[in-house]
Amino acid sequence: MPHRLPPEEMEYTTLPQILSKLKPIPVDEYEKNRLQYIQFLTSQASQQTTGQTTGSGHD
Amino acid sequence: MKVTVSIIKADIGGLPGHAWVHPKILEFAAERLREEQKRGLIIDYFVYNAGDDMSLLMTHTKGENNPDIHGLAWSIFKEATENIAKKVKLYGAGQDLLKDTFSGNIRGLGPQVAEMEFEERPSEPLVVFAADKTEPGAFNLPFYRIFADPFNTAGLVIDPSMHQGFRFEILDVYEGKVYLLDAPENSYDILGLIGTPGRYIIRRIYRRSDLTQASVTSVERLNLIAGRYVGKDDPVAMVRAQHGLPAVGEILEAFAYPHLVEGWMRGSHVGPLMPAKMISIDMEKRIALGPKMTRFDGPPKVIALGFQLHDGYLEGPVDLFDDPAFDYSRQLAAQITDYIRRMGQ
Repeated sequence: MPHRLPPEEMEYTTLPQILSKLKPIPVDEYEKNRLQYIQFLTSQASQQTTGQTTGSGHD
Repeated sequence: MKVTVSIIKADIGGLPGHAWVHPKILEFAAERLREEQKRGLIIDYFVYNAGDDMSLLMTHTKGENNPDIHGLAWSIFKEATENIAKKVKLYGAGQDLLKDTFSGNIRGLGPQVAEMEFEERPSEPLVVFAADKTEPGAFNLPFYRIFADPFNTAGLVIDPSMHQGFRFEILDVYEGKVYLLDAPENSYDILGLIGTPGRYIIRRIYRRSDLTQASVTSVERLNLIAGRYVGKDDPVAMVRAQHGLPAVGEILEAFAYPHLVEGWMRGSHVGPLMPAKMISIDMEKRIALGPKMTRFDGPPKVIALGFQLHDGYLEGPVDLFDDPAFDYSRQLAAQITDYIRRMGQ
């Protein structure tokens, strides 16, 4: 989790909840199929704009 | 024509301490690259430094992670270490060369790498950056500004090619995971990650309208490779400009504000990133002498060189921070330096 202070030292943060929905890709797998990953995201985004899916562009 | 631009950078010894690169090392590297240009391995090259870091800028048609190109850079760093840095006892001779043997790829061996392969456009302006006494995440804020902040980059509003925004590839260097996030709609998520620049680094950025790659930043973390502190990671980066990408001036504008970055003395402090001028450019030798790092081994500095690519050849460079308009930024960075140093920080 990103932080400047460890979470236990922060008085209050909801950042972990915000970021928990992000779906990262293992870097080795990503580097092998970089173009496909980027294009896949694009096709999802275009579907989104036509109302066929819901959720954020990176899901 | 598909061309690959490779920047491979290492600190192989400082003159004195961590202040500067020995000019003989730059000349040695340029001479070796000239030989390889004649042999046909590379199309063109340029050698420059920021502080004690030497960057080898090479163009070729062999693609990213090519063993011949990486091997060439590795052998130049090794030979310059043995023949010059160790001989004249430069400080930290060979410090970025963490392994003894090269096995096909220079990544993970210590040097920083930024590479991009693309189809050369009818006009291909390219800005290359090198920063010293800081870390790859130092580019997070300015690159966010360039590609996601319309108050920095007016083209995001008025240029139809950019209006759809940009896709950010962010690397978690601790977990080895990649996040793909789109600006503007995922801007808050992007900021949630890149506000921790020691861990989350903007590596590549793509124009969403056609997936044209616009930038690449080096992401190697020396301490993660070596398992101990062996110097800051002193990043390099490059950005393509104009014609549906941010203008050169929009790219540079993001560096007018000397934001605070980690690094500086012993990599253990926080200081302003000062946009610095080169000391000299020798077009014939294909060498540029960059700024020295003196006050408290800094402050952290970034240099910018501008080129026009033509058939893989590098026309230029132009020292892009050599503009009186950046004098105020340098002055502000000097004031911040003074303020921080008075606290002993």
